[in-house]
Amino acid sequence: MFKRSRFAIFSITFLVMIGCLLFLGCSEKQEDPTSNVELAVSKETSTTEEAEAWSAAVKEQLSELADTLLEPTESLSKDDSAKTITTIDFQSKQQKERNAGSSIRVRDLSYSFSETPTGLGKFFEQMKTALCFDVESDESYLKFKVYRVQSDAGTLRTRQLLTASGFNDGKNIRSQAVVEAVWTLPDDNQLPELLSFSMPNLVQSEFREKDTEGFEDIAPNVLGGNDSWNQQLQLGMNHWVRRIDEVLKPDFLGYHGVAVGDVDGDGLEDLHLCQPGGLPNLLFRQEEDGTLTDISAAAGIDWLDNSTAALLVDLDNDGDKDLAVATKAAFLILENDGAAVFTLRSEFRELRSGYSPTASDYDLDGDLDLLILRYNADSREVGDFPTPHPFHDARNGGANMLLKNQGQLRFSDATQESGLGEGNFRFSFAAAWEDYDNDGDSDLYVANDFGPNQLLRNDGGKFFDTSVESMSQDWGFGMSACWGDLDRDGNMDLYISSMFSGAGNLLIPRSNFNPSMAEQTRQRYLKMVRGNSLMRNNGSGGFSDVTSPMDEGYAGWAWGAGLGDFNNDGWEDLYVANGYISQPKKDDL
Amino acid sequence: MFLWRRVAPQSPEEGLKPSATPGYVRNFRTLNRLISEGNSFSGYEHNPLFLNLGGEGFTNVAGLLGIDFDDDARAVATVDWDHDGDLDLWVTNRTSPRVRLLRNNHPHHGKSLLIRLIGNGTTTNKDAVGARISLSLEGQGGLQQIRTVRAGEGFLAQSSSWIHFGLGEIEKAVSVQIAWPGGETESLHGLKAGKRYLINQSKGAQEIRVNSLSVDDFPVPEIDENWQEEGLWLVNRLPLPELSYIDEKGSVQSTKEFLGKPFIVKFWATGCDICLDELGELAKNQKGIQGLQATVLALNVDGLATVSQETSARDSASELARLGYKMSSGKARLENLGKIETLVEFITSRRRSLNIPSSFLVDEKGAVAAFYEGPLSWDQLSTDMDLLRAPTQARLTPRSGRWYEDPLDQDESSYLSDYATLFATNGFPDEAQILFDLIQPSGKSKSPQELYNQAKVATAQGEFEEAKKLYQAAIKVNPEYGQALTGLGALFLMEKRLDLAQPFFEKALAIDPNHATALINLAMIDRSRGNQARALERLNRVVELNPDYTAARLNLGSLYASMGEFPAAIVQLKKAMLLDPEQPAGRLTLAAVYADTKQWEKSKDLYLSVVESHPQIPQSFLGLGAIFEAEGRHRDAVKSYQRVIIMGGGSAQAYTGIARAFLALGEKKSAEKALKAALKINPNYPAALKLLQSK
Repeated sequence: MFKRSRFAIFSITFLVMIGCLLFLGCSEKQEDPTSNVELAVSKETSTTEEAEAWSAAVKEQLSELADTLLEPTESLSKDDSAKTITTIDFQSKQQKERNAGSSIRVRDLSYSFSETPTGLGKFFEQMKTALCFDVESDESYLKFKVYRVQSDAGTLRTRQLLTASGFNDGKNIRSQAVVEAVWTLPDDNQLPELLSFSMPNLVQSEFREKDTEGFEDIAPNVLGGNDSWNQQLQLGMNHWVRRIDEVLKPDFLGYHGVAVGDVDGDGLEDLHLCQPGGLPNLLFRQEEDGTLTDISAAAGIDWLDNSTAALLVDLDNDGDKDLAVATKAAFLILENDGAAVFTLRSEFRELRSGYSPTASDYDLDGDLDLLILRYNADSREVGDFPTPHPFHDARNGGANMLLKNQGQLRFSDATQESGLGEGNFRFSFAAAWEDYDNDGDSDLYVANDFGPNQLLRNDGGKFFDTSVESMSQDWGFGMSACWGDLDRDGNMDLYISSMFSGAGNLLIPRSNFNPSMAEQTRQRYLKMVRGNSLMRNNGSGGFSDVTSPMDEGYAGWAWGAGLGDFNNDGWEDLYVANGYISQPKKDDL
Repeated sequence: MFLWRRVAPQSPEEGLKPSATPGYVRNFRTLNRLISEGNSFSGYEHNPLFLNLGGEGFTNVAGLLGIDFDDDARAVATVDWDHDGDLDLWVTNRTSPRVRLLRNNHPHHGKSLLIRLIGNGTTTNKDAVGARISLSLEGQGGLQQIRTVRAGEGFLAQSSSWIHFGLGEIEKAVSVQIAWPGGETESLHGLKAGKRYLINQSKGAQEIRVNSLSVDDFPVPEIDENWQEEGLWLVNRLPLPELSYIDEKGSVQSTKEFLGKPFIVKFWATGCDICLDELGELAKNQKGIQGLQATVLALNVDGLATVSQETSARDSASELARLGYKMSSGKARLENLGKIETLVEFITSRRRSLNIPSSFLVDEKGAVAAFYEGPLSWDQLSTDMDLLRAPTQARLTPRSGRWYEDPLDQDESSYLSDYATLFATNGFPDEAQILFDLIQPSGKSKSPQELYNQAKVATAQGEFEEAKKLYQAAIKVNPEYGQALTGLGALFLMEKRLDLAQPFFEKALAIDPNHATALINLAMIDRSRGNQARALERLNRVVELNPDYTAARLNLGSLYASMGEFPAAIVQLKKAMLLDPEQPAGRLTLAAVYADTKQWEKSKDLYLSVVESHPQIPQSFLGLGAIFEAEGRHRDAVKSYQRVIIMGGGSAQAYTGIARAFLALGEKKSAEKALKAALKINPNYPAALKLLQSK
């Protein structure tokens, strides 16, 4: 039920309706498919407090709207049925299929905006039909994420992402659309009333066949036979920080990674997991039946020092996978004897608390070199959010390090001589190697938190920062990056994990959000909260930002991304790991 | 919201040193504290899977495929784990479970080709990292497929060495070109769709056969449900804060008296079944415990509001008797929990209330060796008591492994100083002082931070002269120590020595132009000097920077009220009440504003709400008395004023009020008595003099 009187949110006057039409005319231009990047958001006259209050009120009304739509037996009272709203013309629907022949059907339903007011009852029925809510199901849902709120001439305009799950003919139908809404301006005593609702493009996906399977988590099946599953991996960091002395640095933030590689040469790939301080790193051997056996202690890799990530790579070219692991105490390199027994060979105590080590033969001398990323300048800082200076262009992060392979598992610091010492002060979590200019050597893209990323072109073992001229900086909260030819034109494109922030989008444009901030800086802030980025490699050394922000850009607080063709259709897809800190108090910071 | 409301907008535009922007740094610290108190930060987000729609954009189908987990996910690695030709995923999480294997059971759109490259080990590294594989595709409208061999990509992840190509419509054989790092290239033809090949550099392709595994091949093994890890063994033992409790005879006892032998402090409640089981077990093993020259102190927490534990109607002493428990016991005080929670906060960096049962193993020197939250078995406890004298490194961690850096190599004095500071911050200055005394026997010079912390302790203990000396010493070491400057200023302000206070606040403001404490205090000085305009300007600046700063809203409200700008005052005070509904100052000031504007009912409601939440504050009764007078309820007015006097808030104002009310009731004698009392307190009190004249 709606708050206050039932459906009080749907009252309308003719004059306001004309106002909405003008507004939606403008917004259609913004949705022009040729310009994927959203237009710059102009500075608002409203304050952050007003924006928060408005957004909270709109959220309350949208959640009431969703509840009512999800109620299949709900019928309107006479009074409410008489009310009208300007909305899309459901008759004008045009359908386009974007994934012909695949097991997942993806349809675009385009609607035009109706100029005549629609009866409220009719709008509800049409929405229910469009989102497939006719059948009652526990799995049906409708959610709105409000991310833009603007006041205009006595009305409030909001933009929100609609996501819904419904059922049709026994099949789950998922819907997604950007909704433009116009409301009366709320005040202390009055919630906003919905005047207009527009959804130019509704994307729906469903399995082509009934009862098609998706993915299934089989970690308990393959790991469950080990104590380390039951006693260690089953329990999250919210648990472990209560069980491990803080002195041992369990790292509440849970930056603990995974590496896959065949450590015993049996042709089956094995699994390495880095673990919090106070719990041993784990190595599992894959058996022929696909299950895993914990061999951490016997392999000699069960370090208790907080570890972020490891690599299983052949560093001495003897045919087996050695181990490089980034711990809080040092960066360690261990030799594999070929039968998964490891011996410590090199240790770099100056390289504490590194992140996302990655291997490449950057100097093309036939052996693998190592790059280790650094986030905090002070390696003792584990488990806390850092203090970047300044917030949008932080230059007080850690120094990344390039280790050049000198043979016999000895390495030397080649950061300065390779040119990577330049600008080496960002908060770097991850980097990705790729020959983006197709000249035969590996170039490097470094993802940086709180600022610009860096594209470093490799010219004969020397790196040159080409981020600015290649237009690949992608200013933001760079968490990681991966390369793949996503449009199959023969050039490797970039997908970058960053952050979408609803709160950031809401507050940054306000008049009292750091009023002394320069306009250019404010635009940068806005770009930073847009979300993930897809940068198309145009084949001549430059990149274009081709992100569709509310599609592949909308991934929340994103970390790693797995790039792969998950349905074998020849096109590489993306699975994104997201979410920062979930705790009992659900209110967001 | 906090990040975008309070932190991000305070950032300097240029990259300054952190020391130059203390306000910004402070808010980051607050952010970390809020996280440690159990708040979520972009939590419960669902992982998306963006399906590539054949080059026509992407759409999220994670929900459809059943992998839209709301974990705090971190690393992603791709691998065909079950050898069925499609990609599965290993994903690590911050939350439970720490790792998932997402097996792809989705029907293949097409076949695939899997290739693993082996370099020659001379011009190309053995793992062939950096090699580029291109798939030749005829009749695909110029579309290509390329992959590069990588080791380490994305966030904290390394994917499979097997390179996977989805082949879509291609059903037959394909050719691949390989560009090896180092410059060599080779082409291989006739690779069949649906197969996997190992390709050794210059040696051609070799088909590898592996059995693909079906879902039924992976039954869930039986999991040992009985396993329970117990307790946290401290790396550095920490002095148990002194707990004073009421024993069964009603007299006050202290944990100090246990010094000299090991003991266990157990917090329990009568409504907690686990607690009763454990106490029963301890009772059974009483002899064994005594044999170890140890004892147990069972502290009952029934009725302590912070503990979310059902309490039963049963009496704690008779419960213990029923269980045959004969060792020490008593009733915990709320303060005990505050101190214990501070100890737990220090060990775990989490701020939260204690779960019941919780137990602490304390050695004979009074230092906590282990902390057990939740169930604790006798087996574990007896093992741990044996370990007290000869602790093993293995007991430090829930599971065994090897250390690269020995965690026992720690500087003891630095963590004890931090431990003491936390007690001071959490409102236990006496405990902090005891700890500081423990670590500062030598004449070692103190850091400004230590001096500052000790100054705070001294202030809380009411030793203001000592506090001033300590603040001054801190400022001497670090003249730009903002917190010490405002701390010292506040002490002078308390003594109403405005001229002395002002320069310290101004210095703090010069270092950080957004220093909220300095701005508020300077506004108070301006106000008492009659410069309301400047006070207003300063307070508005604080509110602009921190719209949620309650103290600033309160001061603004009170300032507006004193200027007679009541509507503005009401706005500010309402905001203050919204921000901090518990705090009485906003309600009291607003009630006074309503009274000034003759809105009696509103005023009364507010005073009554303060009476309910803070019955010990006399001001609300003073206010109520005045309202009763205005309403002609003189008897009620007298009662209300008398409450003030009973509470020890006897002022000229209260006595004058009583006198006025008695006069209105026609009880002249009582009125005279009260008026005398008023003039005795303040012979020049204008209202009293006025009453005297009118008589």
